[in-house]
Amino acid sequence: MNNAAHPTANFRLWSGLTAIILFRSCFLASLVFSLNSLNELGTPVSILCLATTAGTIAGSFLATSTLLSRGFFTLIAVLTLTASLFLETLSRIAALGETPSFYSYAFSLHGYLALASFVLAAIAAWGFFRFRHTLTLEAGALLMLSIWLFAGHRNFHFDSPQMVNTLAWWFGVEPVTMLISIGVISFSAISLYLYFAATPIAGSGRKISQVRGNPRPLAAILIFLFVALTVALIAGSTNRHYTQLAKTMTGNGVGEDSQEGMSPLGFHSALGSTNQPAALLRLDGDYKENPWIPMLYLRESALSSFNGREMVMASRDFDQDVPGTSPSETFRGEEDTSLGTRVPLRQSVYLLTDHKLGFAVDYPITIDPVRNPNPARFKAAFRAYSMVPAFKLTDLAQAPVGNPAWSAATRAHYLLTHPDPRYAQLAQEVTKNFNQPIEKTVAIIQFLNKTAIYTLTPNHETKPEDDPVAPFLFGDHRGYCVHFAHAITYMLRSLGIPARIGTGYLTDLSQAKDGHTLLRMSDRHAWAEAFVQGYGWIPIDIQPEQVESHADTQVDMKVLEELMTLLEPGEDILPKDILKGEASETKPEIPLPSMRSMGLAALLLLVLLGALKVYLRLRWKLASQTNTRTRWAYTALSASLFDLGLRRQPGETRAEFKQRLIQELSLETLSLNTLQQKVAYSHTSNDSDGDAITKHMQADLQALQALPRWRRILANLNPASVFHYISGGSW
Amino acid sequence: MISQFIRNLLAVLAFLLCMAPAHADVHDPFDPFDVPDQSQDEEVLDKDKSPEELLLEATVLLQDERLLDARTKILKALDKDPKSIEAHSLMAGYYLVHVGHYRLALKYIKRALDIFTEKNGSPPYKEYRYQAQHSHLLYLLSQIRLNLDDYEGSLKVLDEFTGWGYTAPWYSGTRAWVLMKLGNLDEAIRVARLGILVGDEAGRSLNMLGILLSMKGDRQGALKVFRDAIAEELSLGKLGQPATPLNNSGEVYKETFQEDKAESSWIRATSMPDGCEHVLPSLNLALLYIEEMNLNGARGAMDNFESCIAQYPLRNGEEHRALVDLIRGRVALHTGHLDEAIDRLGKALEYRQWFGKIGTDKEDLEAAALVSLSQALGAKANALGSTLPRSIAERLYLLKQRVQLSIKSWWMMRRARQVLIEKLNDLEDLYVRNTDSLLEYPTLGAVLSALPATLLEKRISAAENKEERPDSILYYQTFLAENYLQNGQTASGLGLLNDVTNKTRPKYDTLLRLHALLIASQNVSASSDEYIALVDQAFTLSRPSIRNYGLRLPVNFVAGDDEIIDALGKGPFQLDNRRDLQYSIDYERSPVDVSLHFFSSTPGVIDIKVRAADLIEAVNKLSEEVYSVDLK
Repeated sequence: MNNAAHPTANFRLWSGLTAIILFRSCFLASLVFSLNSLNELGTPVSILCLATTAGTIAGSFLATSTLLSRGFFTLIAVLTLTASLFLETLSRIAALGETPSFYSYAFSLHGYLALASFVLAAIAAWGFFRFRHTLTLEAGALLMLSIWLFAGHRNFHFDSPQMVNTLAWWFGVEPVTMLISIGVISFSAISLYLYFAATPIAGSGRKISQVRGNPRPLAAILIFLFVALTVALIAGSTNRHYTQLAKTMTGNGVGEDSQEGMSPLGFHSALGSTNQPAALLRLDGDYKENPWIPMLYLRESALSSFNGREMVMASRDFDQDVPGTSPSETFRGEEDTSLGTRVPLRQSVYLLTDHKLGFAVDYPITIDPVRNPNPARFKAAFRAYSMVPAFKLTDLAQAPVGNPAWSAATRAHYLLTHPDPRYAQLAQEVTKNFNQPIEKTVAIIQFLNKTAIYTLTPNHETKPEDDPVAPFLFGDHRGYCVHFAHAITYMLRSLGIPARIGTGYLTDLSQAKDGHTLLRMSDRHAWAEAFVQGYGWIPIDIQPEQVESHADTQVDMKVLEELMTLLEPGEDILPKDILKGEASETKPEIPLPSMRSMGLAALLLLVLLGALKVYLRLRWKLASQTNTRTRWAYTALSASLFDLGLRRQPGETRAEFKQRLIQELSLETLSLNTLQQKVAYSHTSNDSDGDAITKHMQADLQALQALPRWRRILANLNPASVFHYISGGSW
Repeated sequence: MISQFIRNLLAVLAFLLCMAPAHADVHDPFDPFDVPDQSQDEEVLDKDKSPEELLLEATVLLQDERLLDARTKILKALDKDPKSIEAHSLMAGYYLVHVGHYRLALKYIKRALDIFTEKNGSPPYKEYRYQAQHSHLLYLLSQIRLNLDDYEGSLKVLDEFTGWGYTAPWYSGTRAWVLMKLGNLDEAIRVARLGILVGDEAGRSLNMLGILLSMKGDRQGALKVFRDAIAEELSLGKLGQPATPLNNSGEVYKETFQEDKAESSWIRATSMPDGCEHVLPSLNLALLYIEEMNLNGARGAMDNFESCIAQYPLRNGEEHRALVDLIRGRVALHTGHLDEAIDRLGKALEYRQWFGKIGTDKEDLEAAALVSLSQALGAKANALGSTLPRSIAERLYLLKQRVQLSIKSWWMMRRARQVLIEKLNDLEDLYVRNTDSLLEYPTLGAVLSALPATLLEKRISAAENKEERPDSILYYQTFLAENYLQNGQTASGLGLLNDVTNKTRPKYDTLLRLHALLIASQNVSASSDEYIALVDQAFTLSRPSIRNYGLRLPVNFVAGDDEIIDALGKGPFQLDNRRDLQYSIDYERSPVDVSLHFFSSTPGVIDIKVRAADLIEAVNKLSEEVYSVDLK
């Protein structure tokens, strides 16, 4: 027996077709959304998605009809030309009026884009069903898209394109996790699609017996589940590995290692610097005295030990001004009264990603964990109270360096020089015309500003035991903050100026709003610091004049405002419905159709489909001529059977079909063939023929009543016959 | 202007509001002997203060522009007294004036009004202090609704304000502004005039009246009123804000094609103490200079603004960053630095610009940035078209780049048309030199060329019929000409352009003349004498424009090396030794390098020499040198 003859086969074919249409529509919709986010399309995305969905449905149904390729393309060409003509006329019609308006022209622009979307989707769907190689092409295109997506994020570069970053932000997970999740979901969706695409679809293009024979859904689902589980397990372990690695890679080469003798800094590349929000900083006071305004340094750790290769974290005997506590711990420091010209500054930090260490602006005195205002969004929150610099940088000009209160061991610790004599030679050379330590420091900054080339990808090839800074300072001068900070520190120490490296965040307050600023992974920074007597540790940073590549991105103000809203004090003080009735509240920001109008449209569509169905079933009763009546009666009966999932298969004669139906439905008789013969062979007819048709129809309908009730109800709800009728399919 | 006014008013009113109940021994910032004790923890001190004390301190801090300190104090006061009307109204004012977070401001002011009614019952109030407080709350509510574009709601509050018999100096100006936004210009003018008569904040009311008269088309009247407003503001000394009416009068002068006076107004505005409170005077000045192709002046205007705004380090970049990038992008485009232009204009499009409640809004910026970015992308595609590749791979890469850039350019222009029509009131910016617009009018024809000719003709005809400014007609003619040329009506288009180039005014219409010459050049045969004449004129006005428009400069070639002739011919020059041309190229070749020499037959006009290791590099280098200009 033919596989397709079984009713479940039909069900499977239809479910396959529906799944394919659904997948293609969703895929095209996501493509439209992506394009719109990359470059605003100007036409509402909802309209374009509707157009692509309509195109997919139209193309699919036309492909499964008996329409030939030339007929399809002629139809598409005629449709395109007619619509273009209409839109062109529309764009010019306003010229006829007294007050010519350009709105009709603008409307035609939307129309063209919607038309293009419809036509492309229809052609793609047609090609998919009619030309087997289209699937190969589409699989290739999907592969290319996947490669593009994942290649764009290589080296954890989540900003290009920003989709993964944005999704990670929405879901509150690490970007790596999001990327891997997208990979797993895409894999699953594409697998399902390919499974359904390989399932035989009824129609002139893909015949049941021609493709792969009978599909085995249960086996397919089991295999799919097994593969998905394997992929998920692999993805899980990959995720754990890369989430750790991403900490350094995505933060300008500045990671978060907090152990003594270790360094959180990476020298090879900072290519992954991303716009990913890491924390929200809220200043509770103005800081007009900030010597580096509008930039603000937030110190997380200090590296003052030299391990022979690079700067690393020292023991807690040193750098006691740096808290070194986790965000959930309380820190109590002592105010260094020897440091003058400082003012208090209170800051609140709301962490958006996990941080091992708390951070604050300069000399924090206290750090206290505070209530997380929104655990769904923030990981933790703390409040810091710092004594921050309020002096002018010019005040430092004549100041001595170092702290007289330091022990000899401490002094030696901060002055431990690099064994490579070239650092000292270069420092001497650059500063030979200056006497004061601060003047020498400025000379070094100016020298590096001129010679250094900022790049995210220095990619110096060094062995683990080699000095990673030498290829920068004595080589191609290409590097990023990590190289600059090390070079400055080594050079300062060689001149007898106590120095160390500070790590944390450097943020631009000109991008702040209401004292709130978004700290992003690209704001992570390392800088050198020198100890100036009476002023404390002072950031010594450079701004290279030559920039090869830079992670210079603007703060996403929408994200900032969204977070600010979460911190609004109004939550406790202001009633929730305080803005009820305000006109500004009722204006939707996006002109989307309301739920009511969408519901009405859906209802209208259902009514239209229902009316068409009724018309298809009953119109034969209205026909005055017997021939017409016969033809319509045959259509009505075929439509009823079609909705029951019973349709003539390609290659099957009407007689064979009737015979199959009688067998499948366990009927004694069926008039279907009789009616068909009358249509085919009758040249003349009379009233008695009309009566016979009525009797045949009644008998057939009576026969179909024998089918289970649920099946008849489903058939009455099934719009398949209407779609088949609209698409001009034969019965 | 309005924000500054509100800022001052808010501080004064808040001060008054807090005066009555405050009895604390607070620090007096005006007392030189009352030095605050820095060693004491402010946080600890605040704990012992009453809400009234904290609010009083906040008021002083607001006056001192220590906004975040003030906010912290108000929040502490609110924490101590959640039903403090003053604290709520101060928070509303803070978010209205200093942050631009109107929705939150609305929440606070509504809450303040609720508490006020709860405490004091419904109006009318007999006691003066309640009346003062209530009227202030209503004032803030009307301003917040105005900023949320709820003009009806704002007017309703103003009606309520007068309904309770309240009066205030700000009333007339605010009501006139709301009426203007509702399109009721006549009544707005009446209200503004009434405000001036009764002496309500004369400077502000006069400025408002000037804007309204300008909108009504009475530009002479507007200029007179602006003059009075400037005098009024100047008479206030340091408290005055003359830059605002000066800027507005400059806009009217520019609209009426009195560029000298416009320039002088804006230069004066930028030199006033409040001259860089807002970017607009500098922006207008730069836009004017660009139309005159005074690119050094345009860049200087932006440099001056940025160095001036640096004195307000806590200012948010949203107030000016995008506009600065727009101007710098255009300057880069006209100087042939196309990568910088694309970068800057892309940022102008991406950055969010906060305009406040002035006529220009973010859609004006979007349209302007889209048009300029499209032009920059098109120029870059043209530049790549005249770049010589070294290999087939590079040739393919250049081709791909050109296709990409051309598609992007076309798309941006299409988007610009959509924005101009749909978001900017059916292309209201077609009116030349619309004061709210940031478009580059001389080159606007590029956007309009794709519109249906019949439609554009009719709209331009209607605009010309209403025109009282004869100098604007040349602009309309250029728009039409470009549209004709695009639609295949070459003769009509060239005829109009010929008329335009003959009638343009020197200096002021330089960019218009340049654009007309260039689009005419694009539509005549490259081998004709006419082409040579047109391109030569354009080259004299702006060297980079030739390459930007995809044209090639006709030059004589002095020596006869076939390889070099071939390379130069495929590059950005049109070699022609049949005629005596203004410009020539000579070369020198040695075993190690090639040098090319571009010079004019008129000594001292231009003389550029480049040297490179090979011929391709030399031609590309020469192209870059000839078709770009470094500003001094």
